[in-house]
This record gives sequence, C-alpha cells and structure tokens, in this order.
Amino acid sequence: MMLSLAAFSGSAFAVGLFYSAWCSHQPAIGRFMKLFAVALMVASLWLWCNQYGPELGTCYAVVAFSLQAWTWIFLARQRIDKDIKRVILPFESGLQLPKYSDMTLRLAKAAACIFLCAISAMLLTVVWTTALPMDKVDQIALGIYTMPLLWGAFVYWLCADDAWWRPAVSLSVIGVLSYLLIYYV
Amino acid sequence: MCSMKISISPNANKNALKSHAWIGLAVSVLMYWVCLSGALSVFSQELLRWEQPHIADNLDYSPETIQKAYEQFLSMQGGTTQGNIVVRLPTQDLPRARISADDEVWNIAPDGTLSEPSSTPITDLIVDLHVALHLPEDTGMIIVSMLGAMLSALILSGIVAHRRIFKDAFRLRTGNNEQLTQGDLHNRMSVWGLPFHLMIALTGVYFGLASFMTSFYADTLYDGNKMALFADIYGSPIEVEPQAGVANITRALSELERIAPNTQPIFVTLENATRDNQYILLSSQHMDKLIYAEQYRFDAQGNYINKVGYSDGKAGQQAIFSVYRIHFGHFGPEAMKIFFGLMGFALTIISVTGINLWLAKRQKQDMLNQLWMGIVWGTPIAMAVAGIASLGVGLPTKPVFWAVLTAVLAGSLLQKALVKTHLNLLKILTVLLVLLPVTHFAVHYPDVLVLNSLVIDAAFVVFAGCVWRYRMSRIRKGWMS
Repeated sequence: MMLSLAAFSGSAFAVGLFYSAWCSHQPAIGRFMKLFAVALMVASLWLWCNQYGPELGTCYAVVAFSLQAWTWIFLARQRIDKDIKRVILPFESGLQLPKYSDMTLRLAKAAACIFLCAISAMLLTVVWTTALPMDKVDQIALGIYTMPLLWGAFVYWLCADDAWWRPAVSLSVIGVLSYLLIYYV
Repeated sequence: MCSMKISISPNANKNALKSHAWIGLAVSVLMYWVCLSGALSVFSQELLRWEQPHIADNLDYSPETIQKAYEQFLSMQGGTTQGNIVVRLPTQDLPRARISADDEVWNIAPDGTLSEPSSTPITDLIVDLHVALHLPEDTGMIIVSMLGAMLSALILSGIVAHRRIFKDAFRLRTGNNEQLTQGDLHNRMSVWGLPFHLMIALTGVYFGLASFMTSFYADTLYDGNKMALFADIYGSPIEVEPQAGVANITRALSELERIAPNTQPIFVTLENATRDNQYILLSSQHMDKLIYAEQYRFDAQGNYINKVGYSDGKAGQQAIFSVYRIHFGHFGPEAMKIFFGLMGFALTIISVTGINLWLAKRQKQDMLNQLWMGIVWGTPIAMAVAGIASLGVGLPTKPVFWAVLTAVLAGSLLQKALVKTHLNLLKILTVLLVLLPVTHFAVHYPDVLVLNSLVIDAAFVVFAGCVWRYRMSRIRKGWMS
C-alpha cells in the first residue's frame, strides 16, 4: 500500500514537473525539470511493478499517469470568455455528392485500405516476425500485437500520399514479395 | 512556453491531416457506435446484475452446490447437450453463479437449485453492438476488428498531423469559442490517452482477425497444420478414458483448491459434455497476472490431469491470453473498470469532436450535419428507449433500438434549424436518462434496493444532469437566439 501511494505521488509530481517545464520560459530549467520528471516516472513505474508485479504494475503506472495528466489539464484550463459572435453557418438543402470519378477513386481507396493494406500487413508481419530468433509462439504473439500497427501505417500512407498509385503499387509489391517468401522460398 | 526540437515538414503535416480526416470520416459512425457501446460494455457485469436485481448476489458456494446445479441442468436437458456445459462461478466482479449450454443460461441459487433463466436484453443490446454491431457474429466481429486497425491508422496520422503536440501539451481552452474547445478536447484526450487507445486498437483487432493471421503462421511455421499451432498456443488436446454420464465437478473443484490454492476459480467447462470423451476444464484466475485464467484439466471423475500452462508458459502465450483483460479493463480493483469506462468515453468524445471539427471547417451546413447530429444523440436516445421499453413492457431491445434510431435520423433530416434540433435532442435524452432508472426502480422495487442497482440508477441520473448542464451551457452561449 505504501509503495502504491509513493508511486502515485511520484507520477503526480512528474506530471506537475512536466507542466512547470511546459510553462517555463527558461529552456535550461525546463529541460532539467523534464529530465527530473522522466526520472520520477521511471521510479514510479518501478514502485508500481514492485508492488503488483511487472504486468499489473505497468498498467497501473500508465493509468495513474494518464488520469493525473487529464486532471492537471482540467484544473489548468483557460477560460476564454471573449464575446465571440456565434456564426450560424448557412444551410444548404440536400447533399452535394462528389463527382463520379472522385467517388470511384474514394471507393477504390476504401477497398484498398481494407483489403490491400490488411493482406500486405498480415503477410509482411508473418515474414518479419518469423525471421526473428524467437520461439514460434513468441513470434506469433509479436505478430498479433504489431500487425494492426503496420496495417494502420499502410492505411495512413495510402490516404496521405497525393499520388495514390505510389502506395498502392508499393503495397502490392510488398504483399506479393511476402507471399512468395512465405510460400515459395 | 517550451517546445521540443522535433519537427515534421509542413507538407507531411498537411498530408497527415488529410489522411486523418479521410480515415476518420470513413469510419465515423461505426467508430462512434463501437466506442460508446465499448465504454458501456466495460460495466456489462454490473449491468446484467442491474437487469435482474432480484437474483441474490452470493459469493459463497460449495463444490456440492455447483454439482447439484449441474445435475439439475443436465436432467432438464434430457441428459444430453449439443455443446459444452459452462458454469460461471461467482467472483467479486460478478457474484452470481450461472450455468449455460446450447444458448440457454440459468442462474444458480445459493442452495444449488436453478432459480430462473438469465435474461439480460439491455446488456445484450450494448455488448452485441460493441462486439458485432448487431450483425451476424462472424461478419460483425471482422468489421469491428477492422475498426481497430483504422483506429491505429488514426492514432499514427493524428500524431504526425498534430504539429503542436508538445507546445499545446497542457492547453485546454474553454469558453465561447466552441471550435477551439472541441479542438483542444480532441487533441488533449487523444495525446494523454494514447497508450490506452493504442492498446484498445491492437487488442481489438485480435478478436475478429487473429484467425487470418494464424492461418498464415500455420502455413509458415507448421506446414499448414493449424491444429499444431493451436496446440502450441492454447494447449494440446487430451485423450481421456471413455467416461460418459454425470461428471464429478465436486471432486475437481476440491482438487483445484489443493493444486492452485491462491487462484480464483471462474469457469467450470465440461468439454464434449455428455459424450464418452468428456472432461472437466477448470479456469482459475491468477490475480497477479493479466492472462484471463489458467486452465486446469480433470477427467470426468474429477481426477487432475494437467494444466494448459498459460500462467507459467512462454511470454507470447501469456501475451495472447491477456488480450481480453487488457481490452476490457477486467483486472485489478473496481476502480480500474471506472478508468477504462472513462477512457472509452474519452475515445467516444474524440470520435465525435473529430467529425464536428471537420463539419465546422466546411463553412456550411447540410444533410451531413443533420445525420451526424442524429447519430450522435440518437444512439443514446435509442438505447434508453429500448431499455425503458424492455423494462416496462418487455419489448425486444434490438428492434426498438434500430427503429428509434431510424426515427431520430428521419426527424433530424426534416429539421433545418440544427441548433434547435440539437437542444431538443439533448432535452429528450435528459428526460429518458431520468425515466430509465425511474422505470427500473418502479419495476424492480423492492429488489432494487441493493448497492449495485442503486449505484447504476444514480449514475443514469448523474448522466442526465451532465447532459442537462451541457444543454444549459449551450443556451447560455446564445444558441437559442
């Protein structure tokens, strides 16, 4: 119990230090505060893990830190009561649909986000995780936890690139190469 | 103000924002439904107790009472079942024993008799919306899991798009500028909840899409033998001597106390129940670990065979078996559930404010504004109406939910004065959030006078107060004028 209290206080103090560093106009002091705050966070994590074991301890450390940060943000909120005139945006009846070609491109992008990105991410994940010198089950677990990130990154790329064909072609190549590596090499 | 010297080119920033908006819009409605129902699903165990408050909570049970319940259930089924028989043992977070097989669930009374079927339509409405969007389970789970991947895409693009991620780390501006407040809320909640949101996204993908991954892994590592892969992860199947008839759960539970004394038994499963090769699987939670439970195997006579080995297995095995508890926050004290509920609610707010910001930037209002408003406020309204209709007159929740939501959407489309419609929807929601606990109280009095029910009823009234306060703050800002 005492360790939990110390860990909780430590991370609260770390959030406070981050806030002070954020407010500080002196970069050197700010940097020092941030360093100290990081050290406190690490110490707090260590205390949580000491009390509850590494699994639950890490969860509690993250939870406590997030809660404290949100509380701090709420308490430090700035109220701006300037007399801003509320703008009522004009209402247009119906729905302006995009052009047929735009619509086709968007639907194709959506399909690529779901299918192409997913398949490429899964295949690539299998390739890179199975190349690691780990136990099979650990490779699978690592893949299960990291595949969504890779899928997300592919979707992000596909939607961000102005030349949509670039990610589409690259992802197709990644998918095909990974498939060949898995099934034919 | 301090600022870090990490910079992303303005072009990358612009593209990330475009990507963030595109993905967000594409998944907006589904993401909102999954987040809102997910935040509520965290409390599914409390909600199902709230739905049947007359069933006594009871943590004390003996192996004999569980055996008695199992035998009564078995004879009710005519001595055979199609699937496994599962007994959910009472625990601190769900202090009720239940037995189920073939889609039939019964509550077990403290003396071991079957008291009445479990009926939890409101909890089912919420949980099924979260798990499968009320679609057929396989399809729905795949779609929801895809949303997990889209959430990780949103997180990645959001980080790159957020140019002032450090500069604005603690900034929350409230007041008259609605857009500024919504932007700050969206960014602060996203950034400081990032580890949680990422974990929700990563674990969320597992439920519906892990099977695809395991197929590829089986082809790569096990020469296509999926059963060998499952054996490595979930434990290999066991061969037992033919032991049909009534299983000896009493003995297995008593044995478990000896084998794993510091664990919390949670499930008794009769695998291949009523067949020759039936055996008993006892799931018991190790409270210092995130794995859902360790599984101890016994033959039908209650003789201990072995354990699957999650609790001291490979790191990967433990990580895979920890997905459920990490996703739903079902570990640690009750406060953890409240935190996960809050985080889920924060994710709901992030979804809503994100679309609100995009709509505001268009400098016009049209059908999309009407539909979005209808979805955002119509969903909790439809849930509340479905709950009241179920409690009051026993109407099925899912059809009522979709009918009401459709009606709200149709109504929203007919209204051009969006501000007034918004305020009216808030008023309706406030009234319904009061009516729901009042109906529950009236229907279930005096059984409702237990802590769990009173807290949940009070929580609805508090939510009603929050919605009303939100409405009043809009009015103070001159929305009525």
